Amino acid sequence: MPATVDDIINQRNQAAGILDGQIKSALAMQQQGALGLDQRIDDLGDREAEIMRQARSDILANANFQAALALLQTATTNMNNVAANMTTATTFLNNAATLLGYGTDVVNAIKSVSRV
Amino acid sequence: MQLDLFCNLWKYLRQALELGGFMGIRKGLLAASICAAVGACSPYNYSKEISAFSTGVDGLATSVTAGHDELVNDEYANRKQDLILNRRAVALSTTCGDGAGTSAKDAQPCAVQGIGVKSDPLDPDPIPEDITKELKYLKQYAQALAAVTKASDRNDYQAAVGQLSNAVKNLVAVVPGYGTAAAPVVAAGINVFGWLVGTALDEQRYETLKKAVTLLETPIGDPKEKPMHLLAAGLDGQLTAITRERQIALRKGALALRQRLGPNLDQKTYQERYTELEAIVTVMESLRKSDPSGAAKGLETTHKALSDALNDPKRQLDTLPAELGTFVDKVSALQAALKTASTPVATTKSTSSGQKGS
Repeated sequence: MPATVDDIINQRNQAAGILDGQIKSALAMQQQGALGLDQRIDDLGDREAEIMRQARSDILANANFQAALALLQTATTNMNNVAANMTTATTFLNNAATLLGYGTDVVNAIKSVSRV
Repeated sequence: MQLDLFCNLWKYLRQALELGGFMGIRKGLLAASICAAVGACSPYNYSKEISAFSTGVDGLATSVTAGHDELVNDEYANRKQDLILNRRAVALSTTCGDGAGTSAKDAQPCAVQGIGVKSDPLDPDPIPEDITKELKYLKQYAQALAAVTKASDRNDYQAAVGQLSNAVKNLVAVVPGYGTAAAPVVAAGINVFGWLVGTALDEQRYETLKKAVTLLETPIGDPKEKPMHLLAAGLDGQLTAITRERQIALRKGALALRQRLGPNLDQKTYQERYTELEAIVTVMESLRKSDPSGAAKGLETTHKALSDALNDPKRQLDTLPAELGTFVDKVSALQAALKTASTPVATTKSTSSGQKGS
């Protein structure tokens, strides 16, 4: 079955959900007294905003959807794998950059099926 | 005789529907079941439902512009907070040197900036031109549907059909992946001429609504997705983006403020900052409870329900009243959340183009 605009939006939501999950984890760590997480929380939020901005009406119903969907699925799988390791303040800080990198992959995949 | 009785009962129910406000639309399911039994009556004109649909569309458009304005305000508030908390030296942005009418539309607003401070753009996400067009033509479309339902004679009706034809043509032309090539096909389908009065006008009105609404529910040409589905998906993206961006901007401000709350502050300063932090979190909470995606999807499901009702040979309203109720409620909640300012109005000024006073 060919990929549709809904498939892209679902993947976008999954990627945003992974970032949201990590932001929530970091806020929970702060409640326990962890320090130095604010900047990374802001960074994850910025990447999420970037993904959201990219996935708007720019999305076209075209044949590239299938390829874009595959890229998105790979990127979100990678994000999930990294996020699974971000369970403490230290591992959160150590892995945040990698997670942000996979977030950029999501942005680029959506760009590939965008009008601009 | 029995038919007269049914028709009178139907008219009575229609009047009750008109007087009953939005709850009346929900009660329309009952009226619809009667309508099925009185196929010989003038067709129902959907005036109330289309008016509610138009209200929902207007609310979506307002949500986009108000959400954008408040996002700019949030960014401005964050920047101002950073300057104040850190007592930074400031300068004016270069755009404050623009003469009236010389500034590019997408230029950053004239604003106060911290010297040597790298900061986010004040307007991080201007409303894309295609979204502005989609909303403009969606509103035109809803207004034109309403005009058809309200036309009282032949002249009114012909003008309304022309308005609707243009609106559908314009709307299809801005659907991602469609473009102007598909538009004339749509426009040609709903031009109707002739002498119309009474029941004949009602019949033509019904057929016109049916054709126009059905066209937006039918894939045209190469993109195999329905125009209304793609429009709603685009709006979903825009509304979700603007809501999340506001949440993210507000969280940045809240985290920065939180860092500056502690036992070293005097009671008054602590209380002021705490109150400010609480105000930000209150807006974050209303945004968290909103459902931008649901509001955008409501546009699609309501339009589909309207199409289904118009195409039902028994002319049942079916799920339309319930879909309309959910759509209008979700849009209303979203609009309220996106319009809520996080900072005192006196400290911020903005327009939908993102211009900011300092």
